[in-house]
Amino acid sequence: MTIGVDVNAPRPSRLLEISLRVRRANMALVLVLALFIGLVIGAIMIIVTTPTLVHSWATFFSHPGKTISENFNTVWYAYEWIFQGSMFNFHAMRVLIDHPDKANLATALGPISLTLQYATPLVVAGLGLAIGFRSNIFDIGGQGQVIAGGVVAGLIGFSLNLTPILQVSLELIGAVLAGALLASLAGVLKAYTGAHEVIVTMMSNYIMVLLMGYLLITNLFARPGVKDGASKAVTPSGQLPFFFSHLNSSLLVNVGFLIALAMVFVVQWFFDHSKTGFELLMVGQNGEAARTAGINSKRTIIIILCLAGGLCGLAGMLELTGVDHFLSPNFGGSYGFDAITVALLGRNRPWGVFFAAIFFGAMYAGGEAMQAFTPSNIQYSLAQVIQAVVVFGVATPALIVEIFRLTDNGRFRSSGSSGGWAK
Amino acid sequence: MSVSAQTVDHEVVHPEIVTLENLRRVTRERAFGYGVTLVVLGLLEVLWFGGASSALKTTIELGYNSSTAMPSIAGPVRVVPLLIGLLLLAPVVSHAARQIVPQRIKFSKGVRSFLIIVGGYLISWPVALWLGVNSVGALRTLTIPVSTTGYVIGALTIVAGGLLAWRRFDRGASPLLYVGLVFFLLGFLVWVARGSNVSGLHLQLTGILAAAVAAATFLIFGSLSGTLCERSGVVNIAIEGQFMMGAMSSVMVVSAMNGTGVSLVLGVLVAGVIGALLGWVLAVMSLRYQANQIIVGIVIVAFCTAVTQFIMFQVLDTHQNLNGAFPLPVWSIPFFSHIPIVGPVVFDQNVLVYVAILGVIIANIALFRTRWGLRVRSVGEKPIASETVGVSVTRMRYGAVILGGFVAGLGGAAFTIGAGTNFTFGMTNGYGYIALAIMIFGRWRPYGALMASLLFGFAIALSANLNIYLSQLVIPQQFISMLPYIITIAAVAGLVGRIRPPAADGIPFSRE
Repeated sequence: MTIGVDVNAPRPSRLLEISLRVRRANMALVLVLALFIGLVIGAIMIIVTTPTLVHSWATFFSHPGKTISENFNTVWYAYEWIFQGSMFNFHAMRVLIDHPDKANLATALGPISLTLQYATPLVVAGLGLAIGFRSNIFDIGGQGQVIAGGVVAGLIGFSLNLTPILQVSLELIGAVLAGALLASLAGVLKAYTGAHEVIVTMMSNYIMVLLMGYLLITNLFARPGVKDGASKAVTPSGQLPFFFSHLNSSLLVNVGFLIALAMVFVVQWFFDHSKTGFELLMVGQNGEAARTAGINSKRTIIIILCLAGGLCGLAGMLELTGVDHFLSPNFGGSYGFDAITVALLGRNRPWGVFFAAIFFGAMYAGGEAMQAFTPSNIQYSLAQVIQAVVVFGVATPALIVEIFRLTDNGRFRSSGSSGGWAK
Repeated sequence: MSVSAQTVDHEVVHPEIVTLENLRRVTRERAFGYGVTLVVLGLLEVLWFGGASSALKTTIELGYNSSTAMPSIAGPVRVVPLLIGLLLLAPVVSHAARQIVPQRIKFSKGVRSFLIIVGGYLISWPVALWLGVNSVGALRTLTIPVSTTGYVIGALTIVAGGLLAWRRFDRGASPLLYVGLVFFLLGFLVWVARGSNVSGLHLQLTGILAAAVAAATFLIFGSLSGTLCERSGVVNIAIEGQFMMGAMSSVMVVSAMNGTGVSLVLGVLVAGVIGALLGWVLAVMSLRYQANQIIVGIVIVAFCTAVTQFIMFQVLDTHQNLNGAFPLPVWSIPFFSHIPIVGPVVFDQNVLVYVAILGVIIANIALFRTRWGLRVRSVGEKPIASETVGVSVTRMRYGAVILGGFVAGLGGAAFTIGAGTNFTFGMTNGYGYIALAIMIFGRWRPYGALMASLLFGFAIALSANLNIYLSQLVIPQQFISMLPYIITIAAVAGLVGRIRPPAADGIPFSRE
């Protein structure tokens, strides 16, 4: 067979070529289609749970246009608020253009600030869990590690009063160590007894919530005189500075976001250029080969979990010193759990995790706006349903490929094995 | 078949090499571990409970502690069933008595169990009346000194543990461990309720044990589900999600139909079907698309969390009539339910408890005594071999995972209509993951799952029922609530010793 281009072959039609190229599966297309499915499922849930919309289907055959427009409008309005609450509020933008002053600028920046504020801990915690997932270690104890980091950062934050840079560094180190210590427990148990890290880390979540509940009523943490479950506040020198507080005190996006961004670069470097990072990748991709190459698997497991836990602890510190400033019984929200899905959505790549966290932050912020501004107060959990569906699609791209009859070269067929329990 | 993800460990007995020698070594190692654990527990009991002041005593209420009243039967009438029962049991216990029985009646296993059941049934009734209620009709109580109890159970545990560690016998090792752990928890209860003979805060042992069985119900369903799935080689981490959806859907169905008898049956079935549906999703993802089973499980749980949260706050908060508290009917097994302590705990429970216990028995027979069970197990151990002899790996796994999902869904129903409460968001509290730990603790066997579930149920009931003794506890409430989670970590970390999961567990199968 000769190598070269057969000049006599008929050129395929341009249209056919484009249509073939469009149908070729790639991650971006899978992501868009997964989001589409998520929005459709969200729309169905809105329609089924809103009584007026359910009733509107009774007149579907007499007034089909009215029914469809009524349903479409409600769903569209809800999604519009998810966007406006998380990115740009068109009304606020127009006001800003008409009257450019400080107050209007603050209003216009509000949604994006909220998105980045919510995304900050998710970026860091998501990066941590992604390190584990890439090496086939499933640390799902993000919640407990976030709490551990927050508790230690809080303790350092309100009991000391040093120069800001020193105090923040101390908080950071303390939080990272706390998270790493908690996660390393799971690592040691896995390495030396074979206890599966999924169960150990999951249990540590519940233990940490209870432990924090106990600590918050002790004299060490509780505000003097008031035992309402809130801790003392971090001293001003221990707080992370806000970017836009001079515009409006409600804009809470802070230096923590820069730290999170820096972490993306650090993790990227770690995997691309460091020896340990390479070893972790190797253990994740082929444990047998890694062992043959002389990599100590026990040590690697513990290192992976320490890194994952350390980053989750850092996330807790950023949340506490950047936004909350004091501990309360529901500190940490669901950041630790959502970080799992953030890592999966980002396909465990540092920049993927970063954008996945921004997406999640946007869904939080937008979900709250949707709940506040839609007539039937559609609950913000709808945004989480959409998130879960998107993650489902991205975690099993083969499903999306099959539903939309995309073409792939077997790239998305298999997502790898999960190894099983006590190894 | 990919083995790439198996974490490497030099010391673990390689799962591929199953020789009799290996198995024996593993079981002997395990027996030794159990023995050491028991000795440690015994020492702890002696030092901790035995160290209590010798003047302190604990009063335990032995009696019947249920909604149904105690039947009152005059003295002489009690003797008649007792005599008949003894007469029936005699041939079982004594060899001499067996000679009197006519030769025509073959003394088979069936006849023997018949005699035990009927005889025990007849005896239990008068004995129950005698033990549980005194002549005036009030609850009988038992007062025991705390430190002596500590010494006695401590000594017994040390002797049993020492024997186990020394002789390393496998048969009876696990039951011994369970008995040891239960004794430890009982000793703890006695210690916590110290001084109750004076304070009047009697130890409601029956109530706590009944709560333990109730809490064990969903754990039994969950761990049974895990056992079924993993025996076929699929890791089901989505049990937590199946619990949530089962709990919510059953309560919605029952409330929508106002809690009629039919609706209760339907509610339980709907919970099971929803669980099976989620199991089907897991099966499709992990079998058809060969996705990572742990990731799929985690995502299913995330999805179920979001959906239950949305429906809870969007629908159930505004339509309270869709979220009512309708308990399943309680079946009191006549007379058996009057045995002190055991009666209310085992024979006076709602229907789902019996379904759970029956499910364990059926699952055990199905897994180890039928052709289907053999195929499921072979598919989980060595799929390529099963495929070679013509058993479809994919089909067997589909069946097992969907069935497992159904069982886990029933477990969800046990949270709401099983306990007679309405649905609250987050009520499953991580028990789906604990169920997985129980499955490991029970070594992938239905009976093991049952035993371990009862133990964990006891721990859960304990942590929920100690509020009245808070002043006696040196430990704060939060630490008591941690008990089930800490025990779970201890259980997966080493109390069980070396365990051998199904060899193909969690590894996707493809024919190439």
